[in-house]
Amino acid sequence: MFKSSVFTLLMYFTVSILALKNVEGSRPVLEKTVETLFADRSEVIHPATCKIITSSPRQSKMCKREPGLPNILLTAKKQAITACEETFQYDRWNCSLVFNRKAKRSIFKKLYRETAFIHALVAASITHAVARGCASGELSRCSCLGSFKNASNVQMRGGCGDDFKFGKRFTKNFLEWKTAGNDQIADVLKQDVSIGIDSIGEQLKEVCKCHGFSGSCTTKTCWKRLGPFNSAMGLLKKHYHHSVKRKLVNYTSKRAVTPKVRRKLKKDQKNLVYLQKTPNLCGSTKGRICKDRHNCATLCCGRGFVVGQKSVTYRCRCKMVDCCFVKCDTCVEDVDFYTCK
Amino acid sequence: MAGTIIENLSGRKLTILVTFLLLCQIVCFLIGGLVAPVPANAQIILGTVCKDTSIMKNDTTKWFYNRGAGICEKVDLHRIHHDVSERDIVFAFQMPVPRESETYDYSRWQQNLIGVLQVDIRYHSQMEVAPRSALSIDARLAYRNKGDPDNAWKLYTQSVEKRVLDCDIDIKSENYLYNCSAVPLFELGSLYHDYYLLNLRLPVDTPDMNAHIGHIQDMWVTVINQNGGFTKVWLSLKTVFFPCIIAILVWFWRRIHILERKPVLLEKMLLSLGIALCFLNAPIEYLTLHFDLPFMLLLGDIRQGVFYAMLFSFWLVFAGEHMLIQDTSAQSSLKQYWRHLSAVAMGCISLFIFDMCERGVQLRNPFYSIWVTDLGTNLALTFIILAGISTGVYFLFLCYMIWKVFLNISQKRQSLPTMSSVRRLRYEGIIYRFMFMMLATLLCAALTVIGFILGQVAEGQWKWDDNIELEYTSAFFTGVYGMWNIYIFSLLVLYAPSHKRWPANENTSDTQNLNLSEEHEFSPLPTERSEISSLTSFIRKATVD
Repeated sequence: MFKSSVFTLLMYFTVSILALKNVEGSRPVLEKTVETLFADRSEVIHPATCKIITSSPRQSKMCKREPGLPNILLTAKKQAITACEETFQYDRWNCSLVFNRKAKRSIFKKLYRETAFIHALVAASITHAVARGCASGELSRCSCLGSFKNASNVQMRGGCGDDFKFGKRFTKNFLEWKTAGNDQIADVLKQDVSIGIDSIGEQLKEVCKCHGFSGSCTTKTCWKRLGPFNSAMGLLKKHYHHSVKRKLVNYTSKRAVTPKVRRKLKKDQKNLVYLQKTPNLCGSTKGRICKDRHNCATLCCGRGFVVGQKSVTYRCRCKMVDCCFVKCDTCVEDVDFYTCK
Repeated sequence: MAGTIIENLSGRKLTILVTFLLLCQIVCFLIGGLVAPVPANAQIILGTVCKDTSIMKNDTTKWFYNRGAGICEKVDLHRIHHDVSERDIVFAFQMPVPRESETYDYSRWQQNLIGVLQVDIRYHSQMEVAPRSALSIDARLAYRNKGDPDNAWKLYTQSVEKRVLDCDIDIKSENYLYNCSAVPLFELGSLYHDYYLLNLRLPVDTPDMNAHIGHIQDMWVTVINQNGGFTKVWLSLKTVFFPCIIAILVWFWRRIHILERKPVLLEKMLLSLGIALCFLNAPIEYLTLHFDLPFMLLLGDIRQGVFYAMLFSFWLVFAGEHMLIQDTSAQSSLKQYWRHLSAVAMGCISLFIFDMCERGVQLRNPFYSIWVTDLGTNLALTFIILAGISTGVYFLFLCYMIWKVFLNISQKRQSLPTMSSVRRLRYEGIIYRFMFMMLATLLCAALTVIGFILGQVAEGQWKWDDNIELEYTSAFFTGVYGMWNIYIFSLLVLYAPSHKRWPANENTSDTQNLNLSEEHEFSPLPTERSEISSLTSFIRKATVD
């Protein structure tokens, strides 16, 4: 009896110390995970269970239970970075980690429009990768959400819900969305993450198949098909441009939000939210290549641009002699290219 | 005076019977809605791209899969590979996909498996995909059972198929995907084994083969199967209905045999309708739990077809027998209805041929689809349109006949006031009950149609509060199924010959009791002893008047 109570006490202490440590880490797991996933461009494999991020205890547990997860995270990371760099190739912010090439001005230091966007992007990418992992069987713990009857096993009840629903729940769990905190920054980030996840949900397409009497539509089964990540990216970019700035209540003390403010915040839940104004990025666009004259006008901040000529090689006369790879010739052509002054 | 039971049943008893049947109907609906899950379930599987390094590609003992021991070498299609040729690519789909950390297997309760293919094609400015381009697939299906080693896949079926891809794109930009329609891939009539594996290849045997399908990025196969829980509920319903209908058929036929006359056409039709329903009700699906019966999908179609053909024919004959214009002396036979019935036969035969062409051939090759070739599409459409036209003609006939019946009845009604009050009351009652039956038929048909439309419009589940959720699709199926069973059950009961005014013997004492109360309600009419439905006899008499 006594022994067991001592044991419980010890357990209690260990747990509370662990918990304290977690708090001491000061930044919520959500922020940390998104930052490491996006900012770490090296291919370093961490000793932690999740391999590509230094994981929190909870994340380690998730990675341990699901052996396919580190791979999925890697896919999500690559997918997010590639999509971001491709989409923002001709924008003032070209998906760089620092503003104006100054190492001190990291985009993760404060909550800029770009920070908000990256949170949404990473969350969307994880959701998409997890849903794909479920569909390919790479992940084996995908649960059956939205199934109607609680019959004893999967075969008997109404099957499993769609993989997006699981991806959504999983991403929120993994980013520790619920325990991200109650202050304003946490609220903003949580909203941004939600919007990112939902942008995947908006790309779902319903497909139906009739398989009733003689193949007629007396019985029809529909399912939701995951859209490609690129179209979600298009949507996210729109969100980036339409994001709204919220007034900073008190940044330093991270004071809890009063109900009155919370009500006000409810209004713009459909948009990405950020807190700090992005610094003027015009200083860093010197030497950047722009797409066309129209694009140069914005990208070069009115400083003008140099038109040069260069010969580019590009793929041409592509033939589809095979199924899955495109085989093309390489052509050379002289094209104009524009560089900001 | 003798007739059918419905003519001799008091209003009170009729009400009790109808209430009882309505209660059964509601129970059927609720069983489907509250106990059964959705009828079918879809699982989406993303194909794993595997590398096939073997030289001979037609080796059907080599299988590619992505889970378990001996998994294949994966290829990332986003990168350019120089060592991989197009012939080395295999898309592997291992089903079922694991869920909740369980590698669950298919249960035989899940009955059938239908595969639908979706192809993700990436836009490439140099190589746009034509709206209708042909995709050639070398598809191989293997199975494995529980307890087998992970690599013990055995060939189930193999085929090289052509499918037409219907693709379009909204934003023509690199890296965006085409919107391609889903194409049916295979249909398995039985789900006998535990695990299945589908290996797809895109052969390039001729220079034109698979040359215009663009850059394939992913392949998805959605597999649809019936839910085990639904099959259980459905089979239980069948198990309950089957003996009930058999019993009532035996009772019905015994009643007719007691009579001195030969059974009339309507009674024969009722009997065949009952037998057709028994054929539909027979719970032979139990056999699929022990045997591999791939013809179950086809047989199910045939069983339903026979039942509907019988029901439609019965309605025609039922209306015709009350048409009141036939020769009174002649015993009516099916020959009189050949013109009307040929419409039913035509519709059924064309649907049967269509079904044989699609599901019949699928018995040999589950990947077969009649819709992929132009000839096949035209053939299938011809038969379907023929069936549609026959249905239209049939309903025209039926409506015309029913209209005639109502016209005749209203004419005869005018002669009612000249009759004695007792006789008038009785005939009014008979007409009322005839109308009642017509109304019941119309109600059943209308409910089926409304239910179907509601099912198409509404989403699958209805929620009343947090605890009660109604699975509408299942409820619709069990409800309609129960309704037609109850409908035919009540037809058999109400149109069985009544024993009233019939020399009592010990066999019929129970019905004597049943009809005792009516003995005094109507004074018997001074007519010759006729066993024909009194409505018909009344009409005949009236025409004589």
